[in-house]
Amino acid sequence: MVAAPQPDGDRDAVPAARLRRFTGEEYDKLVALGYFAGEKVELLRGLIVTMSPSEPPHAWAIQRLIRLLVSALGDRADIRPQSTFKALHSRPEPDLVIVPVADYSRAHPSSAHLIIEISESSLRYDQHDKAALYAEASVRDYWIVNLVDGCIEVRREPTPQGYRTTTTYRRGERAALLDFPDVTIAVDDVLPPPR
Amino acid sequence: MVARDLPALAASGFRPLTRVEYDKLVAMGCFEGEKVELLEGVLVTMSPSGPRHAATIQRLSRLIYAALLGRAELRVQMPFAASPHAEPEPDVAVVAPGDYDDDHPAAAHLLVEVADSSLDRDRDAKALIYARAGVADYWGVNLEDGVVEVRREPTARGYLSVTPFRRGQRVALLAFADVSIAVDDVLPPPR
Repeated sequence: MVAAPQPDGDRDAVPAARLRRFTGEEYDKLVALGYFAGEKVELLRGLIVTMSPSEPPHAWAIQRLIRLLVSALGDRADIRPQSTFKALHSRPEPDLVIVPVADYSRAHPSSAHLIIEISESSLRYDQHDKAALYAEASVRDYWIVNLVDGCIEVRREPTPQGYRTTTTYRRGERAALLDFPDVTIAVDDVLPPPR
Repeated sequence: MVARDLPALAASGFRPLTRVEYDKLVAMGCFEGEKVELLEGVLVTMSPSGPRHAATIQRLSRLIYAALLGRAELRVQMPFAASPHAEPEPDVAVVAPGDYDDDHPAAAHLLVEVADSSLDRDRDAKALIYARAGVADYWGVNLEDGVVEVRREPTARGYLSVTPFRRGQRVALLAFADVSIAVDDVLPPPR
């Protein structure tokens, strides 16, 4: 991992409008060349950003969701954990992407039934930047497992300006997948057990 | 903040591109036909040079070249190896004699940036980069205000001293005290 220049304010004086952002294709090429091997990075609107490492509650939620979704969806959809999703000038790696069954061995998926992010330190980021990105990519169902407030936030009706609706599900409630209404996830099954 | 459209970025951070990575991309022809430079790990586009900006660089080059012939090399808008994460292209660089075929110079006697307007905020970012690179003499020619700002005493936090030189004054090079340049010879002729 390359050490970031210190302190963080280094680039403050570079105007955002002057940044030369990478295109998705350029980023794909860098990855193919081995540029970020062994690093956790993603491309967001042409900028390469680092991802925070996974804490136990975060990994736990992913593990639980995979188990629940695999058994409920069977062979109707595929689940891609922490894998690349293709959006305009962006290559995010959502915690979970539920995609139609297809061959993604040559290109990452650019549409999804559902995208799920598990959020603790990245909550604001996932609620704003990632939501804007997924809405622009027309992802119809975007869930945030909010570990800070102990709930699941479900965003729907994507528009280029963002999601129109946000519904919050709390402990004791169940959220259903938009594309598979028979599949529901209990908030209690995903959040860490209360102490 | 560098990118206002990513307000909550604090959750993670930028992955700075290194100079080595950047040089490899350039060698592969990645930014062919584009004016970009690497500043603190991010790629930044350079504003196109207007006639006033270009003419000022031309005047500076002429003056410095003639005065330093044989003692130093003059590089105009060429890469400077400022740090592992920065490869800016200062408008004028006065460097030790050499060809620099294998790598760009990492030290300079003098760097000069010409800014068309005081709103050209690159200057602040670049002053910090040059100070950290240990460049002992950095001149910012501000065409709008008609002033040459001479920055000296570089530290990791920036330059400790900034001295403005105006029309009627001369600026001497720190590394070549016998060479001084009149501000009037650098700035565009008054209208």
